[in-house]
Amino acid sequence: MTRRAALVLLLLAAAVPALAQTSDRELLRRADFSSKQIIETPPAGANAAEKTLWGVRRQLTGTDRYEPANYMFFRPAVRELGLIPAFFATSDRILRDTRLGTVRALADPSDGKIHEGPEAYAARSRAHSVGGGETDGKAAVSVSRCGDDAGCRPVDADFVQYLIENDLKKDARELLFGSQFQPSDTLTFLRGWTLYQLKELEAANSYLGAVPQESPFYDKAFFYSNAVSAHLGDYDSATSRLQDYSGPYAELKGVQLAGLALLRDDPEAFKAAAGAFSYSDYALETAERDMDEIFHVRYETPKKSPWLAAGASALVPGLGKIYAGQLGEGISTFLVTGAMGAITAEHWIKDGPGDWKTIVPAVLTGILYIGNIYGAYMSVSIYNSQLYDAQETTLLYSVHIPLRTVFK
Amino acid sequence: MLRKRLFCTACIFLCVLFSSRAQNADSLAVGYERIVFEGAGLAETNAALRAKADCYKQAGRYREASETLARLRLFAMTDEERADVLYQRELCWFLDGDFAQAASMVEEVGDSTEDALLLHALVLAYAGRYNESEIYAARYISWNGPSPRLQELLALYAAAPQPRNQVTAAVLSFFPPLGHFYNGRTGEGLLSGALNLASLGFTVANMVSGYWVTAILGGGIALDQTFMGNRERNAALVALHDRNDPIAFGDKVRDFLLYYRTSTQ
Repeated sequence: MTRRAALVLLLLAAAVPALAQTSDRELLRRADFSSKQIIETPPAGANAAEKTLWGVRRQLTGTDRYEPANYMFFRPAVRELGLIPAFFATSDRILRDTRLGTVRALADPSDGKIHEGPEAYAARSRAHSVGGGETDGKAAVSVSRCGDDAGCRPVDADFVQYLIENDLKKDARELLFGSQFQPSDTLTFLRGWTLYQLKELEAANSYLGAVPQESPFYDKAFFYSNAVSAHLGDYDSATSRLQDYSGPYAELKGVQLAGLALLRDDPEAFKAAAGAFSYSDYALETAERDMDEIFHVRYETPKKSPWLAAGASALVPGLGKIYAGQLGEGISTFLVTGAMGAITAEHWIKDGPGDWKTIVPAVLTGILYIGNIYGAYMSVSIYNSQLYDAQETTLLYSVHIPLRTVFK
Repeated sequence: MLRKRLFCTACIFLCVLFSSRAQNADSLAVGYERIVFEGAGLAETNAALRAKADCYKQAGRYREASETLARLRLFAMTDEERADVLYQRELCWFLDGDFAQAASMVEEVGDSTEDALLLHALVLAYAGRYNESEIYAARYISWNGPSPRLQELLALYAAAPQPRNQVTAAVLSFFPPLGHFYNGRTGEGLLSGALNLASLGFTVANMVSGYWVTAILGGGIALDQTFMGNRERNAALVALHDRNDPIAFGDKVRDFLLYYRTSTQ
């Protein structure tokens, strides 16, 4: 063994008491694996009736396909939509909640369930308030302050880059925010960049936006800051900053402005910004074409009509859903409503319209039939919302991903 | 040159250890990572990474500890050191609750120490591999010679939960509520049986009364829900037992092995 290794081992041995180690056996004793077990409990906040339905429902389908389950859907639906729409929304949910009806639905990979609450039936707002977007993390960042410069040192940018490139971002964060460094543009940029890598977007934005124009990191920080603002839903301030930009990245400025215009639902601003598209820069070409396509689909193609879907479902149950692009849901709706209708017809013919054996299935059929019309109307609205969401995802991607190539 | 690097490495270690900032696992870990970054030799790099992994381990961040240990250059270590690193990786995976990953390391770690035998016994018990676990557990308590509590240990393993068989459960679920009884859910089984009986009764009653459409469509939907639901529920119960039983049994094995000496005395 070399002398150096011997010294290292000596120092490590010295470190043992400093670290106040817990022995392996003690760690084994303390280990608690109860969170790894599957514990079946009724949904939180369930009342007695819902708990009973939970118990029975488990025997009917084994597991629930939707989250919240149908028996937990009605109460929040009443709060969100009102009593009558909640009634029909729940019956539409029941019509769709079959193997066939959920075949194309997007389940969450973490629990295999389709997460859809009553908000899916509510008209979705397009407006984004400033800073009101979803963030991946809003942790407040405490910074070790460098009061006077004594004891502070310049930040080691190479080491920070090494940590980030080796996927040791938490180490980079600890280094940058847990140590005293002399204030500098580089430090500000690295702090913003590290927080951006850790997806702590709000905090990242405050640092990236503070990099001064004289800094060599300015352009990179500026455009990443705009992309982060877009992710946070703060379209207006990003647009305003971009309009004032007069640096060397004119086409990139045009791409971000165009993306933000579409995110703000402003076709005229998009047309003005798209004038900067050259379609010849390999880093930007895909984003430019994607934005053109979204503009075409959104403003130059007729949208699907919820009223047409409702009318189609009134004629043939499930047809409106198929029109909205939900084939499985449409067939499921047709089969369930049709079966109830056939049962009603049989009793009507054999027992007459006044018999309870006719009235019960007739009422159920009526609820399902109206639920089917309501569901078809809403599914076009949902389809349009989902299309909008998909477009927004593409737009956020388009104002963001090209930066990786441009500033490689 | 060698002296200069030696001096730098020593300084960094001392800074890491005694710096007023170095009060938590994170800052210590960064300090050790800097040693790797500074281009230390193989031995120093390995020592620094081990120390960093230890910081994470003490902080309860076992996955990060195991990932750090995976960066060690094993070829630069003695057999004994290598075995210890692999043991630590198995331990960290186990403490992180990733029993399958920990169990995959048992062969690699070997069985040359008492601690390794204990860990293997626990890892394999929690992973549901009771027979293999039993062998390691028996060797562990017999490490210092024949153990007076061997019979007790064998009795513990004899009472290990039997893994539920997915095929058996599926076959029995054709006859509700037998699948539930197989899964040890008597109450649920009776409820499922009653629901299936009601569906069947509804269908037969409508057939007898000549309501064929109601019998076929209504009864079909009801039976699809109760009968197929019964099958799905039993599959879910088997999965639940497969997950929960080894953990519950592992806890018993852990209590026995960690405290058997105390209770013997």
